[in-house]
Amino acid sequence: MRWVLWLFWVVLAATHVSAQPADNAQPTALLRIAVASNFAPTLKALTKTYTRETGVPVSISSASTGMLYNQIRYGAPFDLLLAADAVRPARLVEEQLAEPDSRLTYALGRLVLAYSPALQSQAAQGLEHLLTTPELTLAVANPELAPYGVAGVEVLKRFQGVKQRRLLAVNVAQAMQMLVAGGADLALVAKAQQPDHALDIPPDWYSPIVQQAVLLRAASQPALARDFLHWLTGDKARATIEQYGYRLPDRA
Amino acid sequence: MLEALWITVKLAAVTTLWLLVLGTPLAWWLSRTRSNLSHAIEAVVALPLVLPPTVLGFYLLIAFAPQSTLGQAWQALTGERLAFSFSALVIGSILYSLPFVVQPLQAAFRQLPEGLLQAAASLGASPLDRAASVVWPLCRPSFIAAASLGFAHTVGEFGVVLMIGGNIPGETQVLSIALFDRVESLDFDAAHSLALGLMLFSLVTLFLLYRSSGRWSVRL
Repeated sequence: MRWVLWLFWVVLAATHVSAQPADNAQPTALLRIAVASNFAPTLKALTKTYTRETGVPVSISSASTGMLYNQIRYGAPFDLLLAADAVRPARLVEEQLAEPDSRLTYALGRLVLAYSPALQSQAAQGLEHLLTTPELTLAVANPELAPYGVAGVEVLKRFQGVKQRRLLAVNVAQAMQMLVAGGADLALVAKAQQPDHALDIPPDWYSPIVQQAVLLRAASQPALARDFLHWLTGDKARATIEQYGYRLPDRA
Repeated sequence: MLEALWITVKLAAVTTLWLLVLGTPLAWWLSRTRSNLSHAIEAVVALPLVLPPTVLGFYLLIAFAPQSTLGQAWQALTGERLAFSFSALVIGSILYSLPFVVQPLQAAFRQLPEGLLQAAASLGASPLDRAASVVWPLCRPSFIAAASLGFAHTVGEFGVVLMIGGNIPGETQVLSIALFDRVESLDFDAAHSLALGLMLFSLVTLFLLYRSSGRWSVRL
């Protein structure tokens, strides 16, 4: 048991030593981005390129847009918020927690209907057939919490009266988990999640999922953050965003 | 992933040290006092056992905010922001793991034969001497149990860190949050290795704990 105590002291000593350089290193340019979960994989690909081009390291924190919004209100140290909607960035501007002139649309979300591999033959008969097949269970994100849930519910309104069981997930990630784990046969999720089996939903079936970014007032690296926002609207970034399953906003 | 491991071990080690420093006198006082207040304090210490972590997380989120009294006092004292920092996680973890350190120590202190302490005192042993030569040898297994439980429970924390941590890699992203993050992004390979690692760690800790509690019998 003595070695456990030794290990404990070694860790504490190392903590003390490592605390010094880390504290000194913090203020050097590190960009902290809070990102909605659905865009996190895309952002990781984007920042890899960005860091290689500019040498600026980026730290990424992902959670649902609503949760990030709350964390920012309670003092989270982020420079940028990449939200999954336009509501929360607008509210942060209203509450004077974000810079009004920085708000921009960086991507438009695309909704798809993911289905379990067992439904391959039904899927061949089209989207409407799947959504009207009775006795299936469909997972959709909660419209109160998730922007993709709002769009999903709009799609389902077209198929009222269909005898399908509906599961409400906290977000598209959980809706996808329900499908993968087998609790659901169908799931309305983001194309960016790249499900193995899915059909695109026509964009005119739901109101646009406008994903906006905003620079936070509490940012410790405002200049870097503005630089990144500008880079995010450039050709190279737009190509990556599209490749990961989003539509692009028109050029301003 | 290594970064998350390091943050987790660091958080658990710092928290355990603070818990021993703060928990020992508290447990001693609780085991000796006849005051009615002690029951109220025992209840408060035991609260994290009963309450969902989200309750503690919610109050701490509000308490640590930069515009709050605590947040501003911290800023004035240390010059650093408290919300979503490593220090905030340490404070949250101390509160959350408090019963796991205080309760075993309190039980051990209570079982100390009062006569031994009085005998030592009558032979001229100072309070410090009594602590070192009577209390420590008799309660050593309980100290080890308390420290291990405090450490392990902090490693297993999720709800509180989810609410007050902010998932910042290299600062507040611990293993349990990193695991949640991987599951959220459907990266099940990484999630499997994290989950398996945490499970093995907990199993080994508990195994060592139970083995040592058999071996460290009391010697006088």
